[in-house]
Amino acid sequence: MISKELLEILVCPACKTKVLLEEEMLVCTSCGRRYPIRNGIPVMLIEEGDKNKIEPK
Amino acid sequence: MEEISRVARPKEKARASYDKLSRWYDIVVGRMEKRPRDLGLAKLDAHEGEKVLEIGFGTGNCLLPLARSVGDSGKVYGLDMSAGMLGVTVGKLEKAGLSKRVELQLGDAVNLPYPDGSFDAIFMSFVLELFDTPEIPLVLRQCRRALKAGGRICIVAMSKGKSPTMLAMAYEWAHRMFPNYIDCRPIYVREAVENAGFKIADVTRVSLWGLSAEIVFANKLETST
Repeated sequence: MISKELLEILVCPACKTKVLLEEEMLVCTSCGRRYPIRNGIPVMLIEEGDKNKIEPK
Repeated sequence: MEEISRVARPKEKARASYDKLSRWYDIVVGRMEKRPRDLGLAKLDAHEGEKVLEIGFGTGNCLLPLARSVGDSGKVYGLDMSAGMLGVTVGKLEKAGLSKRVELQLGDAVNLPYPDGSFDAIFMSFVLELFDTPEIPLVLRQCRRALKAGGRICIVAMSKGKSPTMLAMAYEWAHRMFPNYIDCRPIYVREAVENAGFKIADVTRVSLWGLSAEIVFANKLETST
């Protein structure tokens, strides 16, 4: 859905940690914010990440 | 130095109005901005194989020449806040056959979603003046962080001249009175870039129908982090 190259460069805008692709969301491995991908475009806005936040593992 | 006025409009509203504007933007604003924008692109001088970021790509007019400059071995990343603008841009890139060289994201330049030292060059054209005054240094600091050592930045923006013209004063008045319609205002471009720790390489001033625009080209020092 999004290119490997793009996934490699994206980090969480809030804590600058690498994000992982999980169930069509980009998940921050440190703070648990989850960023949606809409029409193939990652939405890297902190407020969007907050809406879908999960407790970090 | 005379103070620069603030931006009263919340970001949500700004995003919504750009979504509405996107279809008309090229016709109304695009033409006026073309000359300083092209001068800025020439200063930035993106090369084959480089990684370049454009912040606030709007309707994608600069992404196209940037994508041509970096070639198949390079990559252009585009960040914008507006999904409406993004739709127009995706169409243009497809039509030009340049989609593969460009990656688009929605985001806010105050919190760039890229690691330190990611880019060879960063370009911003008529974008920095849309941020609220306290955010301008934050955006520039994020740019410095995301640039490689020795990386280049070129910023094209409306600038506050030493002796403002009647039109510039009228424009600023309109910005204060109708902040939802006239959302940008002239700023001190060179000073802002310098204060963020960049080394200024070149400043070009051009007149935009009586308003003044500044094209500031600068480098991140090799030793800075």
